[in-house]
Amino acid sequence: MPGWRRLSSFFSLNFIIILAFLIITALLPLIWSSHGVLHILSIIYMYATMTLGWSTLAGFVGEVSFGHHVFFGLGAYTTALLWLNFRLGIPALPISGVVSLAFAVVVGLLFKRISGVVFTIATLCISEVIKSLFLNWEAVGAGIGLQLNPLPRIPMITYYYTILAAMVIEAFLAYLIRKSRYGLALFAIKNDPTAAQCLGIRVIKYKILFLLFGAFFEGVAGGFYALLVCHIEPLTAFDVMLMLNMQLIGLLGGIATIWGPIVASFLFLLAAQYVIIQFKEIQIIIWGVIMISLIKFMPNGLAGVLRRRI
Amino acid sequence: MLIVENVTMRFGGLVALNKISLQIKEKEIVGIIGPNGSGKTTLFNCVSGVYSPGSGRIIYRDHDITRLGPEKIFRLGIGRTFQNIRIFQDMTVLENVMVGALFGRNRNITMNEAREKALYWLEFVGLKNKKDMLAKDLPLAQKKLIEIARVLAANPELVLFDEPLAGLNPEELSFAVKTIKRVRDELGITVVWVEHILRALMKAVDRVIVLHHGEKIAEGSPQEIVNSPRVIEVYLGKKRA
Repeated sequence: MPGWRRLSSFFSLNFIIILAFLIITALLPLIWSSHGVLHILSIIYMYATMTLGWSTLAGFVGEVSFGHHVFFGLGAYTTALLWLNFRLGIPALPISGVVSLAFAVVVGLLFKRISGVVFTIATLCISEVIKSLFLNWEAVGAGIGLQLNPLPRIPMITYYYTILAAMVIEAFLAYLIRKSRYGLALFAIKNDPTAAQCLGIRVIKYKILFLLFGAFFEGVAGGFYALLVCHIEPLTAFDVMLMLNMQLIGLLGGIATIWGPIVASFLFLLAAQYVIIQFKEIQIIIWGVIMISLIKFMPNGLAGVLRRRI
Repeated sequence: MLIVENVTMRFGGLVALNKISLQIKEKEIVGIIGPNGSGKTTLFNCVSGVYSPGSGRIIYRDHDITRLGPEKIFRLGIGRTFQNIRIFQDMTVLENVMVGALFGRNRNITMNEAREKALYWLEFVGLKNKKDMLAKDLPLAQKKLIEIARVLAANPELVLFDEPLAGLNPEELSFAVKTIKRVRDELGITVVWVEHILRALMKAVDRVIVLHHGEKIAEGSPQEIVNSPRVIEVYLGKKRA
């Protein structure tokens, strides 16, 4: 079982690292319960959750979406509405995930037969359409958005563990799929979709599977965002910059891996703190240059660089 | 076993296949020949579902497969190889063949069984000692053998070979021909074989179909085809009077 040994030895070699990561992240708030630190870490996990939701589709199946932030926005609005109407806090997150997932079913049915660049553009279009819809929808505050009033007043530590759990569950599920026999099919699709089809693999099935998978966790991350900042509006909840950030993180970490986006989220958010403070006006230019450089010089991200070293 | 009826396939103004009809019988080896651009690969793409023909019908056993997608046609039992090799380059040789075993027509097969099966077929094509290498690191001839092992692992009833001999040296060529003959003789799998290297093909097949500009211009035993004036004209040009 060479390939499987290759994969599983990769994980068993790194098993200790993963375990250490889990222990450190789980115990950290007990040792160092600074509000600011937990806040930044929560944002990092939120970005990791979002990026994994996008990069599994792009990296495992090879379909690059440019509209995953629509699921994030829908999740944010769902959670905000659930708070305003039913005072649901953290329990609203899985519901938000399901709402985003339901929308992904619609997207999946619409875009079942398209792939490649057309799929990329179609996903961007649908996210812009939904953004316009929310910008003009009076019932959800139109352009002003929604204010979580009264404030949820959730302790920072609860935020921290919630989003950490979401990220770990997502990564673990992705790992399980990858390790199963379907991982081999995904590998084959990535290598050559036509040949995979001619060997009886239903490419559409995997595309839809990861679209739904990603949408659910985008929704959870969006809901988390709404609870954290307590105010959402269409221009930030459906901001295409969210999508660009996911792609930047994904590219930095290596989209075909699970750990890549998580590690890259740390690097990206720490770098972002610096870039935003130092180069406020020209930050978009800097992100653009970084993105182009990544594509040009390390197309497989950190994962690719590490693999070359080994 | 396979009936192609009046199949026409157009790409814009180009008629790649013009009312092609042919039949393949169980356990035959049929060669399909014709100059470049005569529609051989297009015919394979129509039968395997990569293209959907403009008109006509393709019947496999009792199923009308004209409009089915590649994965459904594959599950009915028609496997294929590709002219420009389409193995999974970044996977190992064994993994390539395992994909065939896992997702082909073997239902509910476990990973271990798939591995055993893949090893068996790698032995069949003489690549067992290369099983842990990445597919892309192998020479062309062996990549072609991976494709053959991969499709056989999926348990097909009919295999379409698209120029399996192109680019091989004489030694590799005779091994590949032998392997394809064994597919029919030992495994009882029906073979349809597109080839440019006529010398090798003619010795191995039961029957030859000749395509030219998307039309079927001749059909018969290798002997008949070699002596057919129409075929000679297509390949060598008209004899000047």
